[in-house]
Amino acid sequence: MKIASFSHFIHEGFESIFKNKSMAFASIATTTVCIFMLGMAFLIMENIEYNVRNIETGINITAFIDENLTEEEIDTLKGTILKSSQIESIDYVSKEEAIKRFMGEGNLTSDPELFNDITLPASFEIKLRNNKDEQDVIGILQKIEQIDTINTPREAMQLLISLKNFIQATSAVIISILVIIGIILIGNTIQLTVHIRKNEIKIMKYIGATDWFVRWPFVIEGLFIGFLGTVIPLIMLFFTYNFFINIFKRALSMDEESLIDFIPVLEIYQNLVPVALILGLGMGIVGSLIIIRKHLRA
Amino acid sequence: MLWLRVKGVFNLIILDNVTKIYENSAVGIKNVNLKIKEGEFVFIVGNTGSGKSTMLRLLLKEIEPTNGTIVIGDKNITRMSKEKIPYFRRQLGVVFQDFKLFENKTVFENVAFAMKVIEEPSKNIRRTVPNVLSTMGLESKARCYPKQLSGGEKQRTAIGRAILNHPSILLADEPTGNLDPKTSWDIMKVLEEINSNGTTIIVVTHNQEIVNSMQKRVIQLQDGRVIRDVVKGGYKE
Repeated sequence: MKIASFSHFIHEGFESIFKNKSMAFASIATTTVCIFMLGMAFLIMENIEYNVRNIETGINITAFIDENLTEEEIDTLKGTILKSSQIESIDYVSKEEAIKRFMGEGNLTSDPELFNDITLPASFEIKLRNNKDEQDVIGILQKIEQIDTINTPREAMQLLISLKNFIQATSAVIISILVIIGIILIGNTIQLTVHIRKNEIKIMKYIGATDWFVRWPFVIEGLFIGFLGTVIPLIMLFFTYNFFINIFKRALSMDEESLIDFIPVLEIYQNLVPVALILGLGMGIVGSLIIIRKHLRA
Repeated sequence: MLWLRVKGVFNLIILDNVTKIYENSAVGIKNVNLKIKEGEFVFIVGNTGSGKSTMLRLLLKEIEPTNGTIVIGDKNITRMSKEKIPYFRRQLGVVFQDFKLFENKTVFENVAFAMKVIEEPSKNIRRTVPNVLSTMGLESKARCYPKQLSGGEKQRTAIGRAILNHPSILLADEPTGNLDPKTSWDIMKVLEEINSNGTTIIVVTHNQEIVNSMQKRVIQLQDGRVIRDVVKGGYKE
């Protein structure tokens, strides 16, 4: 494609959009909704995956121990558990440490009475060399008398994974429907332009225009619709995401040590922007090419 | 093969036993054999449904023949692939009864479009188009839109667009069909002048007065067959 032709295609493509403003608006709006939905699902799923990974690589098993054990007995017990080659490390968490973690550092120091009323058991936080050994190690721990209860984050992880799967499946269906509607609407917008320019296309073909010379303005029209329909929801999502993670962080008094965390918006956008652009621009190109192909054949 | 390209000697268009039968079994043309030399001026005449339009559409490669071979220049266009058709059409100029101008483009832009299509640089377009507009007597109308033009001016714009890329053949489908007698004569003079510069002209027409007066080659069709082909003649025997 030569530069002179490129400017001609751009001019023709944009002229069509301004001539069919209402159809172009409808197409942009549909693409916007579609990309917004995709973006939202993407942000939620990425965050769930991020937290599942964090949990998986964090503590594997928490074993709550008999509260009457002396420090000496605790050390002996720790040594016994560490004999298992499947265990990478073991940390003792005292009752006081457990309460501090539960309430959040410094949250209740000004209210010592309330502090005294809360009791949490001491525990061992056990990290495994391999997550596959979890059941074996639980079996070993269950045989030890001084251990009262054993907790794993498995249930929480399962819940998160189920939630992620549900969001993934639901959004896949909704996004697929919206993509089809988007392509049809973009196609209709292009079809309107093609109909208006039917005679022009015929003349172009008579005077020796190649199929691509005819196609390019329509492709550019579709691309522009797809581009706007992608950029608008990306901007909206950027501010929405930041707004909501700030609300969540405040509501849950989250800090750097919290078990649940959110991916920073700029980091998550490095993956979201290419995905959204491919989908949005793809919808524009596919919509325009399907329609113009039909007319060029005729 | 070395072609002898001397005006009036080289067979620019050859139709060899060409038949076109449409899907609804209607006969377009049947067993047509025809040779048109380079630089000739040919009228194709006949009643409605005689096969004139079919012949033009075949020459434009808008439709495929059912049988036979069409050779234009040194190319057998019946065997031409779809991708090559646009490049083939650039060797032809086409003029229609309804002008087929772009209503949203000025006279200059309409003519220039023929060069845009072949992706000529803007510099060349700016240099060439004014010369053609001058030849067509349209310098003062360059910025006008088709709706601001008379019928004759519209047809001259269409001819300007058709000849801009120096085609070897100019096909004109009823070029005077929408024009008054005086304007029709003006258009025919323009076509004659283009022909005098070496372009082969094929005019499909019903205009008896013009055919009778110009005394050029006349090919008469009836029911899809060539019933008369005279080197210099009138509309009817």
